[in-house]
Amino acid sequence: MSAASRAARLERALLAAALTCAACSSSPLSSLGLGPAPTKPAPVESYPPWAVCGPVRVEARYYLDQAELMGGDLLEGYGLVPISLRLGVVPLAPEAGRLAAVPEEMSLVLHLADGTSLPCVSPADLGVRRRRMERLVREGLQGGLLPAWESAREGFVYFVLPEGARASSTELTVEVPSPGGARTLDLRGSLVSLELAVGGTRRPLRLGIQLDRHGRRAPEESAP
Amino acid sequence: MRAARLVLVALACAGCRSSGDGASGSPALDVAAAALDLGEVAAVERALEPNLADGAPEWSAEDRFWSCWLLAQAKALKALDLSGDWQSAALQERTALEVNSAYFAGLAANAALRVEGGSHAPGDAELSFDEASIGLELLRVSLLERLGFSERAQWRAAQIPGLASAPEISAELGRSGLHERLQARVWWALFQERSRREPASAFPFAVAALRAADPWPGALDVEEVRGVERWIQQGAPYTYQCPECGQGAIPELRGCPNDQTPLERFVPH
Repeated sequence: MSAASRAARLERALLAAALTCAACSSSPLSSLGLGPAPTKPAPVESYPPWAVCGPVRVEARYYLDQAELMGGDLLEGYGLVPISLRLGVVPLAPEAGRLAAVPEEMSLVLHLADGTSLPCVSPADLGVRRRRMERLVREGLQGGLLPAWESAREGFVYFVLPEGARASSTELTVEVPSPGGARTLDLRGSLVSLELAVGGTRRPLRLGIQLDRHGRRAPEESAP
Repeated sequence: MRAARLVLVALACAGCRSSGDGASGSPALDVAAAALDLGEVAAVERALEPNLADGAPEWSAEDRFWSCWLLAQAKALKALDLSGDWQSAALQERTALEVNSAYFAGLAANAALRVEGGSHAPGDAELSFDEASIGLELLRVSLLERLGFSERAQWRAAQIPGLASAPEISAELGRSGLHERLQARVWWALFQERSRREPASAFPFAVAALRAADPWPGALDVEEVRGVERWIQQGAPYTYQCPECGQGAIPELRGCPNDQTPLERFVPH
């Protein structure tokens, strides 16, 4: 049998296998030992990526180029979802200058599109190499008095995927364990929830995430 | 009677799990619909969620719509069970469930685009797809308002036809098949939207929210109930009086203390 014939025979066998598997519930790729085909997530409505609580405004972003920004793909490589938060106050509010926010006290949670809750973790608790940890800390959201909105700087908070979850940076999807197997979710449908102390009361806020690109950073903002 | 139905639901759920035939959702849907009627949320989840996992046999658009419609309600009911608990962990869990409910409501809305019509709810031949779709959209409005996305809720409410007045909404809700325990949240969301946009016409929505919540403890948070009552007494553009004796509204009483005229009949002054 010639090489061309063998190639054609293989092609026919692969096609037959794919057609056969299409008639049943299993994935054609998995039957060929190539792993399950990526599942397209159900289209979801994304939530507004900002929230206001009294004089405080919050915005959340996921940077598509987070791998370049962080020196490595946190989503696929570390199972972390880095979300940039920017918090600030309306300058003329009477409480302005006296409102503070500390990430560790904000009860931060990232809810995936189906409500799966991802806890916020401190870079120091990740068990990553020291250089990576320092980078994450450097880019992290700094606590303290909230500045005026115009001068507020963003900082990152990091949410950890659940056990058994897989993420794709190119597809912006997360596959999580669910009843019956797994569920593939669009990261764009995620929701950040947090609590802020405003006017002496802790108030819950929820906001979606805005996709963005960070681009090249100005020299003075680069890592030392 | 209830115990017998519970046994039937449990047996049917066991049958659904062991069944290898996922081509039709009808048996699982019937089980889930009965379970939802009983408020047995876990049974609804067990009957339906595995069939919506990646790689599960694809159901028809109708079956997918009804399964997600049932699950959206089940998750919303589960969130209501956490009412009144203001600890951070409970708030986070409640948010997770509300997002979960919104997720399934969104899946139902997606499936609805492919439904060709003529479908009826599992276990209820009188509830049509069109009527259930209105209920689904109202549930989505209530979830958006609950999560704090008021502008989005307002926009979504504006997309639902035939909801100009409280009597129209009451009629639609009555036909929608939406679980009664969830209807207070719908009225509350619509009251919030109306009080922002057109406060002069918001009074019937306020009263409807209170009435819908009264039989179901936890259907609205205590603070939400107090907020509506406070609006009626202090926040509304008018003061409301009993049409019979002129007594000002005391919303906590739900009616006139003098002649028991129900609050719904009070008139603006």
